[in-house]
Amino acid sequence: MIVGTVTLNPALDREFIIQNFCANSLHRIYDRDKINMDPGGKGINVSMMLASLGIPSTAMGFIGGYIGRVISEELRKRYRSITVNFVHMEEESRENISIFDEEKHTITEINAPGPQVSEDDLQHFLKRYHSFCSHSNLILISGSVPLGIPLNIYGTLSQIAQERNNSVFMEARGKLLTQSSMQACPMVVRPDMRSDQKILGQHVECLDDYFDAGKELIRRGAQLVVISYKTLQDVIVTREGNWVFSIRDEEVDFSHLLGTGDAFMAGMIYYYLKRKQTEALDYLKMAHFGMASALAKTHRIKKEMPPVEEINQTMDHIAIERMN
Amino acid sequence: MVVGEIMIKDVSAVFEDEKVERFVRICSNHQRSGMPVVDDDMRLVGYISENDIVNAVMPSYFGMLQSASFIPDTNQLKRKLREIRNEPIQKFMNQAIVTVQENDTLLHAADLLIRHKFLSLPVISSEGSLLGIVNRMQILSGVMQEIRSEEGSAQNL
Repeated sequence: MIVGTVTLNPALDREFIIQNFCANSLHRIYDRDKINMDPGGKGINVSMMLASLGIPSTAMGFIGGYIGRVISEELRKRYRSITVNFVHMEEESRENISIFDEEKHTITEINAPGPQVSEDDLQHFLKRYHSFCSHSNLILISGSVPLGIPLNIYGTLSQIAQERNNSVFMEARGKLLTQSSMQACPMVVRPDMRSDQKILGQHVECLDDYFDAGKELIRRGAQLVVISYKTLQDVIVTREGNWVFSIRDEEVDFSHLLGTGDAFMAGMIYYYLKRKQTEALDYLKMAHFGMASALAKTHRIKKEMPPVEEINQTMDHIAIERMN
Repeated sequence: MVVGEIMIKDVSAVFEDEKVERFVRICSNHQRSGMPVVDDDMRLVGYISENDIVNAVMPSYFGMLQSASFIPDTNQLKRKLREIRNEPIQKFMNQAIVTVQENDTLLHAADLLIRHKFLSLPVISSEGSLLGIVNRMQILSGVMQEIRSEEGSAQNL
């Protein structure tokens, strides 16, 4: 199985662990372990998590300038199983700064804008993506889109992949999701609601709003919809019905939430690739394994994938309830 | 040690119908001196290096001169480059490509690099798809790593 991940707007993630972080004061860090620099962007995060589970993948997208080169080099140096296939541009890739405070249990995030992508570079990328998809099996598309790229890009990418028999997993927000689900709805969809409480242009508040949004995505062609609900729960919608997954017997540290969405996607992809290929795919179980991966991820502060044994042990800490 | 252990898994490549100007831009953005050329199925069909373009724009007698200061007219270079900037890469690439596979030894790769005076070699799968590249420094550091681990195990004896 050949896996490709798409990160149109990669970043260099810089993490600082600062106790009692507050604005308007100087925080001096003495311990090197409290500073971290990693390649990032949601697709790249999934590639790195898959690599630590032993799944090779090819990371695609746009990178730019000096920061872009650091992203690509670090990625391939740290993970021998990741192949890089980026379009290099002149403008600098973005940097994301996260400040973790384990004392106050907070995460403060600062995201810089990405580079502008020209029409020429976009065509250059699409051509390479096209070629890649003709011999791959699974494509993950996740994260934000840099300036200069039309909003129908995720629909186009999903369509190209599906026409070449790839299973598409997508995590996207706002219009990117609304449009792509109309054009070529991916098999697995996880609406990203980090910036607003809207799915497909509709405000979601109560559980029924979430089910409605999920059902609409299923109607458009998705097989599995996973929506984060009140942080500690997930709404799962398939063709068979609606479910709520909740965490039980476990306290979640809110300063460890970064990267849980990516762990969820990586977990589902791992399940998809490792299942018995002769049996029909159990979407509910795939979501269960994904959520266990996300939960096990919160046992650590860094954006690291937990080992499979730990994920399997965490499966029991999720209560599954069928809803109507 | 084999090529697969040390190769650079970067499959950035150019397509044979892409233009010379694009190749120059990609190389300068990537900080590379050459690129594998692939077809639409990502199969390797050639290799193009900065040398291929330099040779195409330099006057043919240039090689015989001792020093560049003898070039009568630098505008000649500009004119030639303008002439070929929209030409497909295919016209200038090297089709007689020398390649290695993942399970080839470092010694074999080093031999090819030295014999053909190349800076890097494309690594391909048994089906001919591009998997990455291997360059001289990669081989040197691979061998160095081997030396160090041998020294380490000798000390343990």
